[in-house]
Amino acid sequence: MDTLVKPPTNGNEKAKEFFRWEEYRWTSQDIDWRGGKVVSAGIDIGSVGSKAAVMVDGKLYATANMRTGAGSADSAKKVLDWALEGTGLSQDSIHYIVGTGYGRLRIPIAKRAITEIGCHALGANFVYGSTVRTILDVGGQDCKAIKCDERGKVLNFVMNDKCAAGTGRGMETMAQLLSVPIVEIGTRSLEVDEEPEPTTSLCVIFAKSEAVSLLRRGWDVNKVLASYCRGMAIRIAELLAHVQMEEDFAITGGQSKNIGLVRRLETMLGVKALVPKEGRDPQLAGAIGAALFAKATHEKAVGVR
Amino acid sequence: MSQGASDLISLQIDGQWVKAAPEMTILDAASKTSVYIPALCAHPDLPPAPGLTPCDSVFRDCRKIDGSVTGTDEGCQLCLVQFQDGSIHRACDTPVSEGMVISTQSDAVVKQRQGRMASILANHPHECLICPQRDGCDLTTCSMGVPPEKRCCSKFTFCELRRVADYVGISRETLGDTAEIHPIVVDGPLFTTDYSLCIGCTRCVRVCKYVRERSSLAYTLSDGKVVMGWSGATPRESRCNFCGACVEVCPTGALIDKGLRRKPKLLFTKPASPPVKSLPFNADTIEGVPDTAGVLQLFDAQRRTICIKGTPNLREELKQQATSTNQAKFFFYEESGMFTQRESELLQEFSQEHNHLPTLNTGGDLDDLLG
Repeated sequence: MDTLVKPPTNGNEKAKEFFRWEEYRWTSQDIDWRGGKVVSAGIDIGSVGSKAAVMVDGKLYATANMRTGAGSADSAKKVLDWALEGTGLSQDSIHYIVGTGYGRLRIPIAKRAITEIGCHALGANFVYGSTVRTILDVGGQDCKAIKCDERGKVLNFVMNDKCAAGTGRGMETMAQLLSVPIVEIGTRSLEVDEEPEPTTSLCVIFAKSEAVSLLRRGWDVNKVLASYCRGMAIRIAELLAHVQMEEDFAITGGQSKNIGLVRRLETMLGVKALVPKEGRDPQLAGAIGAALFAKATHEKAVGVR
Repeated sequence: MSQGASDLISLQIDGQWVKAAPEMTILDAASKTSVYIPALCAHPDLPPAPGLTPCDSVFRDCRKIDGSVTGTDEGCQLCLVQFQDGSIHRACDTPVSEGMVISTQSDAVVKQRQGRMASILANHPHECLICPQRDGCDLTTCSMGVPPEKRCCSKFTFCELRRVADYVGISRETLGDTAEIHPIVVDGPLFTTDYSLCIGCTRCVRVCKYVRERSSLAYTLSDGKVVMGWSGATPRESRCNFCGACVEVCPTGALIDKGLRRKPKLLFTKPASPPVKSLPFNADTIEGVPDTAGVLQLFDAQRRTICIKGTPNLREELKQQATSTNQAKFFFYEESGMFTQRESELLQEFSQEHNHLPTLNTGGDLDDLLG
């Protein structure tokens, strides 16, 4: 039973979905797919978000990111169709599609499924460059630390899918509890006069009740968010320690866009996270890696590799 | 190295014939084969532990600990092997002889080894090592109720004790909770010493004595147990010059470099994965596999894992694998509704042990797909 202390709002409260992040799509203005040799696509069906990346000769052409629905097969078709919207490119003209992610094996339109660990590493190599050696993927429900070489090949990884602290779900829970749009959590958590102590509990369930009592004590929402983000960063930093982190370090997955988490991780690890290359979205690293594998598989099949 | 072929003797280890110099130990000879003999106190650059002379006292954190010199350290005794006549011996300090036939995996040896492993683990915090949720755990919140002082140290994913224990097999039934832990952690300028994690392997004592020739570290016996410590009241008084050799050889987190976040040097050949159940990879055995969801593992002729794959239909996937790879000679499977999750869990376990993914997962045909 939630006896919730609601933070001050601007008055027009309905049952607003603060946890809901904007779905988005993008098409390149510089590329004409008709002039390309290989059109490949990667579809990453995650537990929270479904992503599609369409590439022409290894360059990003069209992408989309939407909430995963109930069925993986439907989500895959939906997100790919949305990515292709307005491009004139149809699914049939794509030479090869690779599926990845939690739902990777139930994507009928994909010719091949590759583990997301491999796709994230290759995708991070594309998004961040060949200097990346340690990738932290903070997704919807799990987090992984992946070690890779200069080509984006996986050397080692640890993964925790038993605890949602620090993952997207954890942030969604906090967003809804504090009535803060999820995309603002990061920036607002940094708008504090001084950094507060982290939540004493690193478990989202307990941190939730702790947040409520902090509000009752008179803490403003930003301070509570700062405390929570700091706690979550501690837990994720511990995971990285177990994979013997090496620079350069980069973050993929939805939480790569949570500046509050990113800054605190950098402070704790004593390392600056890489900044993505122009126009490359780290949240789509899995789909991008899958699209790159798709391109290479097709080229090998037709003998140009 | 050897004077001539006539000086080498031949012996058989688990069916493999190997030539060795007469003064070699069985453990040294085995290192020239693909046979792995587990050991925690043995080290390729050090003489064996059994027979190392104890002192009558050592110092820990400047406090003197009196002990006894009666008796001697018998070593970890994990390297046991069985001769043809049934007798069981340590491989680390038994010299080879012509025509020896040795078994490293007989039932008697495996059982004794597991008993020894249980004794070693009984006094070392082991709750995290036996936890079913071990892989991927960040040790911050524990749903098993293990108090922080009993959780694993920062060497969690790569400590040698863990790897050897995994290989030998940890018997959850014989291991109760670790006794009350009073971490006796001493923070020096360069490395940290946690005496509660010491298993008494004496590698640090031996490397300091025989390789560095400083004898800064020593051990004494207390109730027959090895108690390691400084030979003098302080490290300085013990003639320590902080070379770090002891830290390098320590198989546990008892001695750790401060600020350890870098790649550890693996001194030993990595333990092979424990022998797993396997079936021959052919059309007949594949027919017997259910057509349900699960995770399959493919092994090569040496029973090394080359592929771990989750699938909604085990039988179909195996049939497909049979047409696309000829490296697989054996396989095994487990049924699981959460097959992508289970696949990731198994891949994680594998990569922890081997520092790469199975060759057919992102090596093999995918390797040349990378830029």
